[in-house]
Amino acid sequence: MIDGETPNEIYYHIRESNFTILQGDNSLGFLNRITTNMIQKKTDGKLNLTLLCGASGRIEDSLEIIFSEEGLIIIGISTNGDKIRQKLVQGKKWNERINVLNGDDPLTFLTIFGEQLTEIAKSFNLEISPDETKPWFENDSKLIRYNNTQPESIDLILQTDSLTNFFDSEVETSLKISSINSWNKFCIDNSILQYNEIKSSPLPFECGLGHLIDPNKGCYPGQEIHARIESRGKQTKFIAKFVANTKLQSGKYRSDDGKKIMITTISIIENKTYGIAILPTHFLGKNEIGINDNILTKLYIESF
Amino acid sequence: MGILGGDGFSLPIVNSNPIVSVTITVTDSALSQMENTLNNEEKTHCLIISAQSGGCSGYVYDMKIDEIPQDKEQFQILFFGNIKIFIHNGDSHLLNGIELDYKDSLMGGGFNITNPNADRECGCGQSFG
Repeated sequence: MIDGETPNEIYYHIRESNFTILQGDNSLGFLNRITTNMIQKKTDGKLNLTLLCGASGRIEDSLEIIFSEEGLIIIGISTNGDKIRQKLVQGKKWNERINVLNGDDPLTFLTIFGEQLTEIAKSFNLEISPDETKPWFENDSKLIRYNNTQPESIDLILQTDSLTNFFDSEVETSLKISSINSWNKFCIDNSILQYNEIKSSPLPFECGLGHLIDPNKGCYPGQEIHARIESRGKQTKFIAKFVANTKLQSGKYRSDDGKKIMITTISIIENKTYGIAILPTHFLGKNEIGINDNILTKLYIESF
Repeated sequence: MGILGGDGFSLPIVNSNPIVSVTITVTDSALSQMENTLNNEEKTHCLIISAQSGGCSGYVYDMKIDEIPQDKEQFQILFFGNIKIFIHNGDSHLLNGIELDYKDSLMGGGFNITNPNADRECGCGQSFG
């Protein structure tokens, strides 16, 4: 149990995210010119995930695309949605009739997590299938999705102006705001990447997002670099979860043999640190790493 | 009603490309080739040079001979003899200062753009960033 929190409570967390909406003819083709894989509307409920990278191949944002009747909703995890929108606007051809809309303030992304979400799910007309993550669906001006996480969770995107009414409703008054520590533990346990993991602009392969590169797609910003890394096997870092036997903060560390380690996300529970780190491939296959010249501080590595 | 609908709900449109006054250089060989291509239709047609997202470096060039656009006020018009080159205001900051050249060669020939604003260019020469 996380300090200060109670079992069987249901928590919510307002997620760090940016929203861009594309409206107009061929919005999808327009977006596909710069993404690392080819996005298409999936009918099997799977997520439409992609990356925006710079010409250096480094990640600028990790995106999820939702197909709404009113346009393409692009959710990014970076804190700088303006940069992404600027890139989109600058890339519009003079005769393309596409509008790029800023949804950062008008929309809010929150996640509800905890045990026994049945009552909450009912209030959203959401069907729960414990074994599978459900696709987004639109209900009463909200986008809703059930996730087969541990503990289970429901993602919601709603109009920011409706947040007050939302928390005043009968079921939602029971929700408690999550601490950052608790939210981070949820993300670590479920391998959910946050802005912390991409804010140092890693290459996709370094932070577990190599599966979002499609080598057959053709040109997109960063493609030459990705192709070279793939063909020459030059990956130098990888992402991993860890448990440390002491309290650590996020930031840069040195291993006992002098290698750079970047701890991106942490959650401290009962004097142990659970976290996510980006490590040199030198440590691939190792189970533990000593850090900070202190034999007592060890990271016990788990696969991501 | 969907997530993006409802009374009083609207999202701001982003449209903030800076507009700069464009100058470009056209070499004699490029001018000569444009005259051949336009084939005495200079009064009704023009060359539109534009940029759009894509390619390995972020943006790719596009050039096309087209009828003179009706919304002329959205473009900057550059005159080279009888030839008119149109550059859209939205592309002006990306294309200001370019040099348009033409190489008459079977291998690697055709129109070529050199862009002083580009930090990097793709090997194919069509993409810049």
